[in-house]
Amino acid sequence: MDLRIKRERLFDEDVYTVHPDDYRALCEQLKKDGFDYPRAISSLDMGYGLRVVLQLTRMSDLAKVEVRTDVSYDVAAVDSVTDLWPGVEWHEREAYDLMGISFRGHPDLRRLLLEEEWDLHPLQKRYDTGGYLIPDWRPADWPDPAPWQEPAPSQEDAAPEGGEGE
Amino acid sequence: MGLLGSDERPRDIILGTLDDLINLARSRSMWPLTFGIACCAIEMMATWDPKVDADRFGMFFRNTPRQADVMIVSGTVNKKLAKRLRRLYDQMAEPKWVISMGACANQGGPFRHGYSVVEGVDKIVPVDVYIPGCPPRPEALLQALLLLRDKISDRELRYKRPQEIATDYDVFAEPGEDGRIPVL
Amino acid sequence: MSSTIGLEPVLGRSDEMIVNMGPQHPATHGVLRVVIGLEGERITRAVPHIGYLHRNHEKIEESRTYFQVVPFTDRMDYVSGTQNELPVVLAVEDLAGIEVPERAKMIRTMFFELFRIASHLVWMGTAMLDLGAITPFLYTFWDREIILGIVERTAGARMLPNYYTFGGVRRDLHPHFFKDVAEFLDHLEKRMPDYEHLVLENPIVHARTVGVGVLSKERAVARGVSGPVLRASGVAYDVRKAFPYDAYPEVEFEIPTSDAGDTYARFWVRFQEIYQSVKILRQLLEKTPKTGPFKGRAPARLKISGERYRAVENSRGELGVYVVGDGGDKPYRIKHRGAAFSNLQVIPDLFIGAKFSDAIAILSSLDPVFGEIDR
Ligand code: SF4
Repeated sequence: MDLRIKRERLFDEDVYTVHPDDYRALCEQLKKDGFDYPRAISSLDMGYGLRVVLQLTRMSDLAKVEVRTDVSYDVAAVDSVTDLWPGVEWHEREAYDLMGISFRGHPDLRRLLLEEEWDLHPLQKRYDTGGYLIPDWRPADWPDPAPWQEPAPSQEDAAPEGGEGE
Repeated sequence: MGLLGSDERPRDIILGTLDDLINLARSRSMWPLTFGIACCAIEMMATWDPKVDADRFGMFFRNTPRQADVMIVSGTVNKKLAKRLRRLYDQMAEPKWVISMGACANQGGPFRHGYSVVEGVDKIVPVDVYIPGCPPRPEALLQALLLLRDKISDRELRYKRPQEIATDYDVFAEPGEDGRIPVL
Repeated sequence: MSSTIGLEPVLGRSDEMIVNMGPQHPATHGVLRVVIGLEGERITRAVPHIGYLHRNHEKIEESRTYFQVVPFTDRMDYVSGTQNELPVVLAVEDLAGIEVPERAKMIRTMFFELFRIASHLVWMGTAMLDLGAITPFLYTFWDREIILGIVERTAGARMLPNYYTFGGVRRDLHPHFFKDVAEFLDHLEKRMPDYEHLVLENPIVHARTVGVGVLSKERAVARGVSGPVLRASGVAYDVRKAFPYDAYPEVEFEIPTSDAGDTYARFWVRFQEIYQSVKILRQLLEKTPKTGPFKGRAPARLKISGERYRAVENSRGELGVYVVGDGGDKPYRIKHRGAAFSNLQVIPDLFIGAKFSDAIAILSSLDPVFGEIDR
């Protein structure tokens, strides 16, 4: 199976940027590679979409990886990895609560920190600190890389160790 | 206070009103509610530690609001907690007093401009004593408790505190049509 | 209103009682709320609810400069003061390439360990309060006041000092710092046998904690718990050893672990950590130069681009931060990974099957701090 994936090295971590449809497949592969300790799931508002950043550690040799995937505002959903690492359960709920990213297959996707009745996701950049909508928060020259529209990078620089690209 | 008799009367008779007597009892046995919220709660615990030792003024924590006289709001109150805080206050028996401890309880503190923080607990419950500081030192809380003691002593027994809070702030409101959190 | 209760009665299960605990409850260490389903004394279901102290840290820090972010982080794990500042400071130093003098690193590490002792002392007092013993609280808070006095002399504030800064610390040490710390360590070593006697050797504590709330090794790792909770389950993972920072490579210490994984093991590990902190502090008192630079060169206006995750081992576990800078002087996004946040997720695992009174003991052994959980 081909995974649309880009790999780079940042400080002491391997960073994989992956197409949202392949996010789950990559995570399964990483789980097989022995990354057993979930550190956190962060979420970002990139201006062109939302980004999920999953950070993992392998307890045996303390290798660290970071998996990034970008989803568009309209879809704003990725597959949940709670069954692989139960420790991300609350992190996913928090990302859903504050950033508005849904996780398909999450066992209990409710708001975690805010009250159930609120219908906004305050960490998105279109809300200001007080929770008010800012209609045009992006400057006109905002970069728009939209990685899920880019063609998949070639196989040589894409295959991470552990053979995800096979 | 007319508590001490004048010199013409025998020394072992003290004249005063019933107000004075009951207020004396009340002010010497203020029991706060165990309700730590945030950072200030640690300093609130430190007020009852052996160094500052508020126990010596007859103040002991009670775990249920029905037995407590004083609510010390020690920390940031957010919109989710606001309803619960008001309910705890309503559960406390009269007479009851509220101490607002720290910048957060006074006006929102460092988090004032955020989307989820109530800008001052006096929007929810009537406050008797405000303590500045982030966090206030335990000595400051002790002083507030002593100030409250003086305040209780001076009060008429039939005094009824105003229950409605003068504010247009609605923390209990639902979000508006545009998805906006009702802030002020 | 299923969402607010979080526990619906099961049809046909009339023997189950649903009990709400918190957010105002003396044993929840703050504003935790747990809805518990009980069958007699046994817990059948447990649903934790958090967010009663959500203070929009992450949003409000996006509108502050990096220097203004540091005092906000203090307010997360408010029991352990300066420890929270370090991840942000380290991440920004990495991204901006700021050099830190050796002496500044040692000063930071000394404060870090002082606050670890202070935090574990607070834990000891409050955990024993939960178990019904008032005496340890009176002793531990006395000792904590000594630490806070030492901190106040140098940093200017007791609890939330805002002391670390990019490139070092804000102020040089007070001239009496070394003497104060040495005296305090002597005092603490005399006190520790008392504490062991009051807590670890206490038969009531034994009866209520041994074999209660066992967290297996695999479950602990998969749940992402860290700190004393993880080490009590037999995993020797400590950020201070795994990804060393500041002056930790230069000092010797051990990682105490226990294989039992129960509540008593978590109590025991925290005690051993106090001993290790004393050991680290004694080494650093020897090594740290009495005078010298306490701060490196750092620009007065930081402009940062790039992304960095840095973690430290605070009193509760791996406290991480994910900083994203877009080239401006304010962070584009800051995500805090609270150690207690991940640790608290194991509540359903540990509560279900335990007795109701055990729940209190289990909760106090997790040592949650809500500033860090709700942020
Ligand atoms: S006033 Fe300061 S110390 Fe007190 S709760 Fe607010 S932030 Fe914490």
